Amino acid sequence: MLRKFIDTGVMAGGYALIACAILVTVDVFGRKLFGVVIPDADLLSTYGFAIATSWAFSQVVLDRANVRLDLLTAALPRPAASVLDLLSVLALAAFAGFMFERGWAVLHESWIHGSRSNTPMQIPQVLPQGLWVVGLLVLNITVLVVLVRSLRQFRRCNWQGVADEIGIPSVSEESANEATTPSAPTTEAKGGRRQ
Amino acid sequence: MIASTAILLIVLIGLSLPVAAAIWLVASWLGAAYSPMPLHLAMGEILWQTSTEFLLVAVPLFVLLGEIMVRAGIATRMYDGIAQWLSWLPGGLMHSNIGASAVFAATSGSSLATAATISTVALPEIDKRGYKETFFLGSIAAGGTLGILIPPSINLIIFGLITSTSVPELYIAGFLPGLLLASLFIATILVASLLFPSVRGQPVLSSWATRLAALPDLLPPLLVFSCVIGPIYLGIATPTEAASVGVCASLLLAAATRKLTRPMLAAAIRGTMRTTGMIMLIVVASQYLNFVLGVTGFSGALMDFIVTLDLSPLQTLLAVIALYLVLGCFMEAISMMIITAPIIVPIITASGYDPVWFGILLIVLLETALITPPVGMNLYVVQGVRRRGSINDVIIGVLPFLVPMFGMLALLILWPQIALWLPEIIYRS
Repeated sequence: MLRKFIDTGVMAGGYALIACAILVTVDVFGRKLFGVVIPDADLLSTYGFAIATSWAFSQVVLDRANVRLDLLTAALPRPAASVLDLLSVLALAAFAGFMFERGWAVLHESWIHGSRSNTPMQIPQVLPQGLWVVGLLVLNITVLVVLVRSLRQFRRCNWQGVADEIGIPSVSEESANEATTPSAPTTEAKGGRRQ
Repeated sequence: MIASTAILLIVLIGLSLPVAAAIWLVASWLGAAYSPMPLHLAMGEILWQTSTEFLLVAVPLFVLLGEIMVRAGIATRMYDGIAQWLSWLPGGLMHSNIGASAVFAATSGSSLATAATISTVALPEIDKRGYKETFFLGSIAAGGTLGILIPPSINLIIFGLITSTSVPELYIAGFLPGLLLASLFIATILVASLLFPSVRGQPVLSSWATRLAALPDLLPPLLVFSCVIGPIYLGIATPTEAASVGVCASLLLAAATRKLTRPMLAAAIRGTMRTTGMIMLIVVASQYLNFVLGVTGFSGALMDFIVTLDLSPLQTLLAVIALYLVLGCFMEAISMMIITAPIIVPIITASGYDPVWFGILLIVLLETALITPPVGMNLYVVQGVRRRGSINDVIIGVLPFLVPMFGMLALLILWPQIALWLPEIIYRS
């Protein structure tokens, strides 16, 4: 359910980015060819990017797409590697918590001061920042859910289970992410696995 | 301070912590240990500023552009078209691997996407035409690295951001070295095929009629490339604006070939968001580290230390290259660049080197990192698509291609104009 929820957010973020790309393109041609400017096209696209990215972080966690060095985990026996996997989720949880706390402070500032963008549309900052902070909150929830799930596997000494939750993906799993052939939408198969 | 920071970073990354979390932990420790001020309070502003940086919006857009090109089947048809033109050379389709990588690189900013794309199209040909498997695999892994050198390049955008270097200048500077490196790869295959006929494989039958018939398949990538790079070179659009135009062009192309469906777009978006989230997590952490490095006086201390070593500019440069070659064996390319560039680039420019030129040299070093074991992502991507045999086959096959890469590094050092000639006549005259 969590994956479905995040996927919806990520999809919305992706379509928002495409919309931003179209907006910026229209702005570029409008400006060069007809001297017409779309107000705040650039600014809106940065907001779209920030919000989409904060939601994408959760997908990165679920897909285990974090950049991690696997020299040690590959060399160690699975139980010891599982300890490192747990450690890395804890570090990620701390980082995510820090980002949310600081992001919240930024939102709070904007709320108190009623900050608006210094542009023609004077967009209230709390709008984009609010959606952005929600993305960071979802990231925290995701990391915690993943942490609890992997702790449960860890307690059962199910090392393969820990690896499936939080381990570094193997070569074949990795390729499922990179091989973006039109005939084999492997990423979807992977996405569906845990729904 | 310098030693303890470096050791802590190496230990945390070595313990296989996520690179982003490791960077953040080091920054937090450095801030707590060496600054009387609560530096962590600045993180919110840094986080929001980085997340809304207009230049970085180009990153997901260029990733999306590549995803759409692949999923619409434009890349596959392009490979077949290039095979018609290049495969008469001794070495046959291996030249197409390089050529198609170069052309695909001109629409994609990622080496991994380039290697994955060419792998899926080219690998079935190994058995069909009797190529020497290792060398064929090597040509794909090496050719794929061109993705980050030939513009548009995601790595160059991030390099430009973290070192305050002009991205349009970097883009135009990467063009000639990209073509040259592709030519060096082709020369390597040619020489190997002449010396060892066993690697050659059967040639693809082509005639002028089939070559001309294949030309329309080469048009879509060329069209997208000119949409994206033309406006940047002409100075009428920023990289992000050009990336937006490129995304729109690729959507139109996909629609024209009736490949623009909702599942296709959904898959492209998922792939894009995963890559973007992965990169941005490291970027925001490193922007925080950069801030801490500056405030705590780390950067200054490092500079003082380098000055006491009393190295000549060339010695400094060679030491930096050696560092990257070693690091490149163990670290993933883009995180290696994000962590090191803010520290290394000031040292290099203080030695009198041009930052744009160094950006291109660094990209060639990152390309080398992508194919040097044990951690060379392109090796894994090719092996992952291959799904048989051992990764060692790819590693052995890619070794000959390290020669042209080192050659490229030497050429850039001997003749910096290879990178700087175009930016100088366009932007600096």
